[in-house]
Amino acid sequence: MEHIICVIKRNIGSEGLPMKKTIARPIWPIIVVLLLLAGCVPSSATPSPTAQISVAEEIVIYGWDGGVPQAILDDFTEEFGINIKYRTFTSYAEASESIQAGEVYDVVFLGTDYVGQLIEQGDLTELTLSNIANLRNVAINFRDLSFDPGNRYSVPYSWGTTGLVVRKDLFAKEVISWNDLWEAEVNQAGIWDDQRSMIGLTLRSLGYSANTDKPEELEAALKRLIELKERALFMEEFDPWTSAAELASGRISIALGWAYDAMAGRELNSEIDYVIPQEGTLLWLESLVIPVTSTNQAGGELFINYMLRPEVAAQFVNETFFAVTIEAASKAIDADILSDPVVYPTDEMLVNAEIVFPLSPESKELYDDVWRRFMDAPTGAPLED
Amino acid sequence: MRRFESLQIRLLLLMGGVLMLTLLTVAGVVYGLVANAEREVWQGRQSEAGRNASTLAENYMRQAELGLRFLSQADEDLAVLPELAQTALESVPGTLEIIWVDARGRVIHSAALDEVVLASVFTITQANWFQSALQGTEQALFVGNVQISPRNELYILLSMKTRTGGVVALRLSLSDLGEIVLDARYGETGTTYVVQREGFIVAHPDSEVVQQSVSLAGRPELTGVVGAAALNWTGSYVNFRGVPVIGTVSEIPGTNLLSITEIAETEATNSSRNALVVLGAVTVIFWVGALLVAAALVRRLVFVPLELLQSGAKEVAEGNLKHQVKILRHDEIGKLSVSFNEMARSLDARASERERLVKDLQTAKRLAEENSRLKSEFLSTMSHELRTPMNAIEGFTSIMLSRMGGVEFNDKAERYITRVSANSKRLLQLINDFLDLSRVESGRLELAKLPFSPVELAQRWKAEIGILAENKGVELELTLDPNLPEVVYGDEEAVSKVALNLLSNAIKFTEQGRVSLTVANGGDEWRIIVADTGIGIPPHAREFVFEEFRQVDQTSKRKFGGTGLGLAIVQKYTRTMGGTVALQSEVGQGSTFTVTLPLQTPDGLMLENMK
Repeated sequence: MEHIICVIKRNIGSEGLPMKKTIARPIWPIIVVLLLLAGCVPSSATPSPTAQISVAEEIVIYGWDGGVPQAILDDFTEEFGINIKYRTFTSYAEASESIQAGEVYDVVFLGTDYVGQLIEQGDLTELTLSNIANLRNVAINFRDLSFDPGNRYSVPYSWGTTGLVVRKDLFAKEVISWNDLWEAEVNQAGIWDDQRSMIGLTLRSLGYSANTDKPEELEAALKRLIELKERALFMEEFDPWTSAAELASGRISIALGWAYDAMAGRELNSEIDYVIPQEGTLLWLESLVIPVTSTNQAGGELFINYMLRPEVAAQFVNETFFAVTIEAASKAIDADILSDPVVYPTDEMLVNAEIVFPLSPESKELYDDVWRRFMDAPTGAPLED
Repeated sequence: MRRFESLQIRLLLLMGGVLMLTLLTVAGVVYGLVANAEREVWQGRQSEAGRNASTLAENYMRQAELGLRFLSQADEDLAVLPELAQTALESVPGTLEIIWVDARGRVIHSAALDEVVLASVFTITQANWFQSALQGTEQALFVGNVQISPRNELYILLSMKTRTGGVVALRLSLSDLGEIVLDARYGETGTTYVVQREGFIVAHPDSEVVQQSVSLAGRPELTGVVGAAALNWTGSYVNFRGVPVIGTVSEIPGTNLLSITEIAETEATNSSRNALVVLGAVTVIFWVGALLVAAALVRRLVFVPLELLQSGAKEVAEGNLKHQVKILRHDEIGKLSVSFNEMARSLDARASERERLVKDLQTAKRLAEENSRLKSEFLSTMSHELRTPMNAIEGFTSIMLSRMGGVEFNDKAERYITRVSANSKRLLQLINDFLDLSRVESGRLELAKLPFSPVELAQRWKAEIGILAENKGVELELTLDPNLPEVVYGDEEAVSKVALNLLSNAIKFTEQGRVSLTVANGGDEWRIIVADTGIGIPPHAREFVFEEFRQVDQTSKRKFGGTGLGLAIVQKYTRTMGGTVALQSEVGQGSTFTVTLPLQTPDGLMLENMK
């Protein structure tokens, strides 16, 4: 999910162009603009009062690159006169470390597996709920979750599944299980450099919990992971954001992926499908939080309240294909998207679903160890490129 | 201060002020009691409403808890659960959804009246109701926060660990509770609504308020109850709609909800305000009435008699001493009136007496004046009539003595005739003096205004009186002021009469020594000063020496002779001429008479005539 979906959507159909390049194109202007903005403020050497006000009238948002449609950010700035400085991360781990390192952010889009941990460590600010009236727009089942009882520190915002993106025509059998990743031809399966997803799906494929803290289960998973590494490809090698192009071109036939990979791929090739394995998907949930480093909590809360508006949330879904927790947004979400089980899976699809929970420090060590050993393991045959 | 010079107005103001103060105090106390009583009544009702809401909520929650407890004991038998769920949905008030899940978060059975919400596989395992119940002991109740759904409905989640190790949860709608609480209104403006501790209004008679996510965070009613030790708080404040209200905020136990009952101050104080208006009106009416009665009473008792007295005094002052004040009553003022009447009567009596005396005096005066005039006239006539024969006697005796006409007589006869002549001269002198005096007194002395030389006149006096002095052996000195004008106007004869009388007098009372005559210029006046070295006049005599027929004593009269009219003539003539006579004397040393006369020079006369 480390991808800018809106960008992909916009570029869908511009065939032949390497995805990496097309994706990079819209990112660069943003970076340039951000750099200019960042450069402009101190370059107006004399700190005039207006300059100070403009600094105060700014919030820093930390999210995936392109994780929030630019139009939503622009509308916010236009409505409230508050400039947004959008900083990006490439993984929740990175985001979490950056917050703990004391970087200043006013709102962070953070995976819930890190939220509980940061709350415990006192890295998040308690929200002033009276400033976030739109909290009531959040669907009942997404409220008062165990990692943050009473939503004192976080507001769950978007969520989704982890599954397999498959070229139906290129795969011999119908894909139904995580194990099918192992069934693919050599170098026909795509995986990601993502610790919890990879270990989690392997544990699920073995019938274990994706959140297990049992060393023997993890050892079993490691063994199986190393098997996979010998026959699969790391998608970052091709494109750091999505496997859609590689699937569409037929270079690979199956890949670990998320709904938007399928949505993007489907635009390129109708044979691409998204499968939630029967062992159960790994669910992810992203929340809006305010780190204690925030210098503009009120501005951050204003932004969160804004994001919780049904129409804003609907716009978010329409452009990113991320499901949102905002129940009231449904009316404004494109009917196609709303009815697409890829984005909004049915309950049947989620029967065995499991959430990636935060790890205890001991478990984290185990997982880190397994992951290091996995990464150190030899890869399979070189690509026959 | 001038404005309040009327005692009546001042008295009225004072009485009015004191009365008003008293009435206002009474009215204030009564109003305070009424307002307090009314406020207490409203607060009592509000507290009751709050308590009712709390009790209601408690019962509500208790029923749900009991229901849940029952469901938690059920066998996980799919043949039983649906029926059980249905029964619970129907019998436990407010229940919207029931769900059984196993320890891994998988749904065993779920049923809902509206829509299945909790059965979302996605969130069960991380839901607080699941995790908390799972980690708790069997039958331990988990109660979530009261939440408001995207459809503005109030709900709360309750869960409990089941006998078999799973979790049973119940979604309870609190909208009914909200409705019931909202119905607990009273009065015209009484409102009850429900608010979350975080500040959001979750139930309000005006559904708009809930939809607009109105928050009371930071407002006095919320901070009031959160800060209060008790479960409820009452206060006066301006509510979130800007209406001044009396409000009671009560906690709804077992939830994070507060019920707020408010009534507009205007209604809460309605009765007291009406009471205030009535009290005000009564006060004013009573005040005016009492003041009018008091004013009339004071007027009748004090001011009417006082006015009568005053007009009586005025009458008396204007001279109507016969005036008598009407006695209205026999109080203090009545006594004063009686005294006043007595005073008037006494004044009247004295005035009549004085009038009579004045009349008598006037008559007497007129009579005296007439007598005096008659006397002078008589004297004048008498003198004249006497002088004629006396002149004849004096003339013929002189002729006889000068042997004119061939008359012959012997020595004896000559001695007798000499005596006759001397006595007739003396008598003639006396008559002349009388005549002079009576002329002055009868006002018939007319003074001439003719020019004469004072120097010459003085010298003539010396010559005339010189013989007398020589005969007596007294030295006579004349001193003339060189500044004397050459000519003065006046009555030469009158001046001479004064000077000669003084001179002859001086010589008469001087046995030895000298007599000096000084004529001096004193600016506007001139002085004739006659000094002697005679016997002097004792102090007691100085006041009467100018009266007619008075000499210092009878001895001197005999010794020095004279008519005793000289000084009287001097004074009367001097006064008539507009001058004064001054006397300085020391017994045994001599006397000095200074006559000061106005000096009328020709220049001065011209000046006077010009005027």
